[in-house]
Amino acid sequence: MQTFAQTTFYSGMLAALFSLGIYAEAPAGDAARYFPATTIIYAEIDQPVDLIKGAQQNPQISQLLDELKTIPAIKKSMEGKDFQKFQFALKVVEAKLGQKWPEALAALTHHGISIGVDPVSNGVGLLMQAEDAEALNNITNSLVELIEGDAKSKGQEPHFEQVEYREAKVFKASDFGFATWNNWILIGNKSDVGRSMLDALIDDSNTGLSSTENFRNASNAKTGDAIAWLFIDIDAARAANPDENIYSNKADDPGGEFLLGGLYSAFHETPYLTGELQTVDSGLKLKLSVPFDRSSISEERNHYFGPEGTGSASSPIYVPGHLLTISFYRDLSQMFQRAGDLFDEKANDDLAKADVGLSTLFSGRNFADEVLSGISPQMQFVIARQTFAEDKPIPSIKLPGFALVTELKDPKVSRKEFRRNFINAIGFFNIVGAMNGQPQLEIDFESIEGGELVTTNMVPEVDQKPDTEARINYNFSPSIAFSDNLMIISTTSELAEAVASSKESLSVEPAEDTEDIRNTAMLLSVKELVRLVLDNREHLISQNMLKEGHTQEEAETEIDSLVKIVRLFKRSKAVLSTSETTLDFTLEVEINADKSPRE
Amino acid sequence: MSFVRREILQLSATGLAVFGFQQTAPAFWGQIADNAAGQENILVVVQMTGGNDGLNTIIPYTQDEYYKQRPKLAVPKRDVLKINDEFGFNPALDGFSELLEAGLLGVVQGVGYAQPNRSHFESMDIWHTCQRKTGDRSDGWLGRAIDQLAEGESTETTGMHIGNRKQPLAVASRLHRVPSIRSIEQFRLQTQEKDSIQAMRSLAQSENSEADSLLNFVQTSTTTAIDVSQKLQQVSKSKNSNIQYPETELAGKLKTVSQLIASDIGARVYYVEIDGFDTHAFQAPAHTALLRELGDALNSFAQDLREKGMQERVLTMCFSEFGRRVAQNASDGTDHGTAAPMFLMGSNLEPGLIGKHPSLTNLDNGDLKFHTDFRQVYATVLDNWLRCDSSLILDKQYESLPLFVASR
Amino acid sequence: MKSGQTNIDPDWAWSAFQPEQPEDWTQRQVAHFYRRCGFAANPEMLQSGLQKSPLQLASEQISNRQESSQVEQVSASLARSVLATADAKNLPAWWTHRLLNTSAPLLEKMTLFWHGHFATGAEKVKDAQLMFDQNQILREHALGNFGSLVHAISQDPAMLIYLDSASNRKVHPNENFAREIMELFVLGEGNYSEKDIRELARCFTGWEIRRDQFYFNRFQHDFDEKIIFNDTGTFTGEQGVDLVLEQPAGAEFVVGKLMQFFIADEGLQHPELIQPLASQFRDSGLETGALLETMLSSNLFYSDYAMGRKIRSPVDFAIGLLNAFEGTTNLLELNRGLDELGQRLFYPPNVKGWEGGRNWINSSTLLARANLMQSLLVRDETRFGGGSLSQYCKTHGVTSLQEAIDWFVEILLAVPLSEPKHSELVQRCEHGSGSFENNLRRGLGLIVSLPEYQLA
Repeated sequence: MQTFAQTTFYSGMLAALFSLGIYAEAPAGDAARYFPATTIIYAEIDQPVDLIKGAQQNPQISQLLDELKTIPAIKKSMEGKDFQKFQFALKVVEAKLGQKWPEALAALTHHGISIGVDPVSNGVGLLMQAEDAEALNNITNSLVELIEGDAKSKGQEPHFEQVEYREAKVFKASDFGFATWNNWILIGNKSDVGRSMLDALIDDSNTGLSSTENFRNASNAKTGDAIAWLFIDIDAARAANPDENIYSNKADDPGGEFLLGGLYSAFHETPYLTGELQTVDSGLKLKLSVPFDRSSISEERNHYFGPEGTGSASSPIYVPGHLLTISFYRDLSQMFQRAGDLFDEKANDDLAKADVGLSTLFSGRNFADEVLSGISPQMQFVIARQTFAEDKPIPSIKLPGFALVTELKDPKVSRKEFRRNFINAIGFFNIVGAMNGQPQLEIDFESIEGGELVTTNMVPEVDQKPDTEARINYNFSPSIAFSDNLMIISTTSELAEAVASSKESLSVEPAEDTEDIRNTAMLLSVKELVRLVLDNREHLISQNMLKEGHTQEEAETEIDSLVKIVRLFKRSKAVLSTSETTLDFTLEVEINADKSPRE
Repeated sequence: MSFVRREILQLSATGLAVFGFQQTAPAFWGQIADNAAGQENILVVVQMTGGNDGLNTIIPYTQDEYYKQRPKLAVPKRDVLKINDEFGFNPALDGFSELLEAGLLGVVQGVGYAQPNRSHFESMDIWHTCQRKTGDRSDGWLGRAIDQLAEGESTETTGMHIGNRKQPLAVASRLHRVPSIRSIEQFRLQTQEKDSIQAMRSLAQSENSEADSLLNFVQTSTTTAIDVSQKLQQVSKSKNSNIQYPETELAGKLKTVSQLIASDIGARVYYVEIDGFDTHAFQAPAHTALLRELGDALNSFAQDLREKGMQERVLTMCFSEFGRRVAQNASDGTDHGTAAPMFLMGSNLEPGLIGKHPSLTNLDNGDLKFHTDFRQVYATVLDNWLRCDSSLILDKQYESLPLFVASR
Repeated sequence: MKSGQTNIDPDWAWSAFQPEQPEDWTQRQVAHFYRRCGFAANPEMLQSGLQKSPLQLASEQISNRQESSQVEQVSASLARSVLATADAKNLPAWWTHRLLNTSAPLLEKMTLFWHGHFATGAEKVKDAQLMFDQNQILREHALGNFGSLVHAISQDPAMLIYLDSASNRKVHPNENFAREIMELFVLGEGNYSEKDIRELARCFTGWEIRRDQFYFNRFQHDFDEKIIFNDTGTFTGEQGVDLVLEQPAGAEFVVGKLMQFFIADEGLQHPELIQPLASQFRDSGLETGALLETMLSSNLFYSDYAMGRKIRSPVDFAIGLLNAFEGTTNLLELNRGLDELGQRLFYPPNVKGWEGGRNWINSSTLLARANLMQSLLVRDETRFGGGSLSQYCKTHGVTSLQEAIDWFVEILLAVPLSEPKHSELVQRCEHGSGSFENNLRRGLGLIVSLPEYQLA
């Protein structure tokens, strides 16, 4: 339930933010200097008023809101007591203020919102600059009056203690407080932080966060058209928590190293992180960057970034039914050879143990040194929805196909090795499967242009009629395909064939020094994701009933709502790349502009 | 806010005083302490799954035949950790070497059984049940021992398996449930509020319930369970053991065993596994890692037991379903074999090598010949350590071995 | 207690219970009935139960052998999903869903009884479909004829695979199934000889499982003469089963086990008590339903020899709480918990099934009981009557914490809580900090951790 509400909330937020780009204007004043210099996390929204107005006026947003209101869970909660109470309270506030809440909020935040976290004092501060002092006082006074009035009517003590500090009015409650000065309002949880921020504000001090070197460098790189901007002082965070894994430059285990090794390199020494949220074409783009020098990467991370940081991932492969592709640059052989430097003793011991088994399979060739080094470091992981032939058992639970796509450095030699091992693995699977009463796989060989396909096929059990309720095993027809230098290992023959015939090449031209080099790229197609969910609707409902304790109707509603929300999006891209001076992570989400998203 | 808190404190203090929780240990507490602490011997079994290469564990470094049969795998004489003039440990076993020096390690050589089976599963079943395929394999040798040990006692846990894999057949019992414990966390009472535990315990106090009634039984079991849990939390938190275990899976399991023993939970048999001994190719690095994991974990376990003053009552026994062939194979590994050494760790053992090393030349089809039936080891441990009647567990009386110091 | 049992008059014990005073037939008795003959009753069931006589209550349950079509439809759709994964590990969640929603509680309870009696473990059988099919067989015969059930189970693929009897050749008859049918399923120890087992095993030669189905391989069947229980003949496997079923000792064995399951864990296994029911069972041709009708409406069933004289099984413990307040929760989590409590459905510990009684209780299972409830009660997925516990209480006219605790205790506990403990409980609950809902849930958590709640 909670996660569902969260999803709804976030998608609403995203849509609201998206609408904003249209109204975004030049950046406003710099509030960072009023925050303590020890602030570690700082974020600002320059034009919140546009966000609010944009959200009110944008037709896509209202369409989205209407859509959300039809989702039964939301509908139900809107009809619920708590929401009704909230609505009532809102009405009271609006009556008191004499304006609608969006207007009040817009007035309050007119010149921007900034928030900062200061670990030294455990303080959190929120600073807003209202349209003018009058509007601000009107709103704060009304709210305080309302709250105290309510407390009084319930026979409680007043919530706020009102004091003066220099020229500011301060309202203190038990665990937070706020202060107003001119058209500024400051909300915080620690009085000493509040005091020092008020001082800075009133004295228009210039010694705060914006005076620090890291912040200055970070804000110099601002592009200007961002909706929201984020700064995290990694130097300070690292100094505060030197034992955190992320700063240790060691992932300890191969899985973590494969995925995040490069980030460990960066976070070990980078001074700060910046984030920008922007609108692009028909969606949103989030970009996180840290200063990074790719030419000085330590040698043991060559497996991740390539020699001198030149390793580049190939373009994500796109095949029919495409769901997700992740394209990597990762030199596995390098990683395993460097295991001694990269991993702790336990992981090394585990690798040594794994090596035995794998080397046994590869006719005694050493797995890390001889087998993996035959694979080029550009690799891709592809997921695509599969189609099922009607004359064969169709599984009741329908899984997509998964494929690992790599390139062989010397196909003549290694093709044979991999083909034989694949066949061995299938034979082994058949023997073990037979002992456990599982259906058997039949192997087929096929020549294709520039290569060959070794496919398998799950043999229907004796007396088995073509049925649509077959067990989950019938999702699998493990196959291996070779096409020129490509090697595709796939859970379905369909996907192996599709990738092989796509004639994609994974090799990438060496990049010029100044270019962005993509290390990892991900592409997600929402349409096929929706289809996959619909294919398995009945099972997801069952799963939901067992897991959430829902009735059938509740479960149906939840799954169908999930589909509706996912359909608001079209595709998503994520890229991890390096530029000459930074390591960047970019996430783009494209909103579905299709007016009739229902199928 | 502080007002409410004060009130709760007062209330709990009164509650505690009334029910005698805080100050005086309840009577039964003394009782379980008497039953368990310092009295009953405990057996910890370590299963080395996959077939340990005994020849590269206890190395006959003076025998040319060893170097001849294992041109690439043999451990050079200079690296061997010498036990005596003829045999030595694999260099990764410095843990064992230290244990031996301290007089805590016994190695029973040439253990196996007649007509050996070379299938992992089949041979493991034989070691677990002491039955060939045609026999009744519905329970295991330790399961039967547990039935004997727990006979006539309450149903308190007598045996425990530490691990998250399938429970080994060895501890399968027809009468008692042997729980599989993943971690010590399972013995922690999860509560939202601290005084819930006190509430639970205080509400479980037996009063006015007929002795021997079901209610009385559940009441005393509940208070015992809460006490065990509390004690276990103390034990796992307390700093009195400074032993740093290695960060390996086996070490983690043995640490859990040590905590369970220290908490007087009353179990007599613990079972742990270490997997990966099936070293058919490129054996050396993997086998080294495994032996290091084994030796270091056991060594830490021994130190920990000594610190906690429990060394006298814990015997650890390591076995594998078979050894490996004498000659190495073409991929620098070894294949399934037969006889192999077993390892015993404890303070009442005859330390050192027990029985002779099987001959490297008088082979049975390329395999070492066993001279000691594993059931002899079982029988000796059952009779002399757990004080069971091994003849009932193993179907007959096996000849016992001189494993223990005579006085015990 | 030992002294009491010899005094029980069998005639009195098995006569139908006829409450004379209003206080003889209260919510307490009805709750007792549903705790034993189902998985506890919710407030509505308690109310309507009060309007019926003990005999009506029992015979209504015994004739209720068909699940309502609505529950059946949902259960079937869940089963399809679970079986599509081909993983037996998902079966327990399916069954507990059924236990929580069933309109035929006694039918499910008896299915659970037979599951423990004809214990078959998915650990070994592995195939989810076969385990599911066996569960259907048990349900189909749960309240029917015991003989038909034994015949069905003796050719059930899951059972034969579990007992290593998936092939049985005449040169080497497998004695496993023959032994278990005598020792564990029908007669009990001491009512047969080793020779009987060997001879019966010969009857089963040629019985095989092929492609997950029972198959008679006549080339492997031993057609020679066998001597079983002094009967001589060229018996087939089916005839062998009949011979076992005809043994008079069988009725006593089954009646004794049912008494232990339905009436009391301890103290009632006396021939003079068992005899009358055993004769009735034999005379009826081993009709389970008729036997249960007598047993579950008897004086003994409602007497002090029965009330609170059983330790709740883990399933009774957890499902009983949820059912009492129309609760729903994350069933995957619930079943993980049940495993730690010592009762994983479809995975009995061995051929003997769950021992029950005091064996349910030890330090690790007791802590697991408290922890399971704690983890379920803090979950958002755990709802009562589809909403919050406080809402559920309010719809039942319970508005204060004190009232709620009284109500919980009254509905949940089979043995009364002593006055001082009751007030201590209320006191401790009232001092919980947090919302009304949290305090209610905490109170419920404390109540189900009480030793009293562990009894049924």
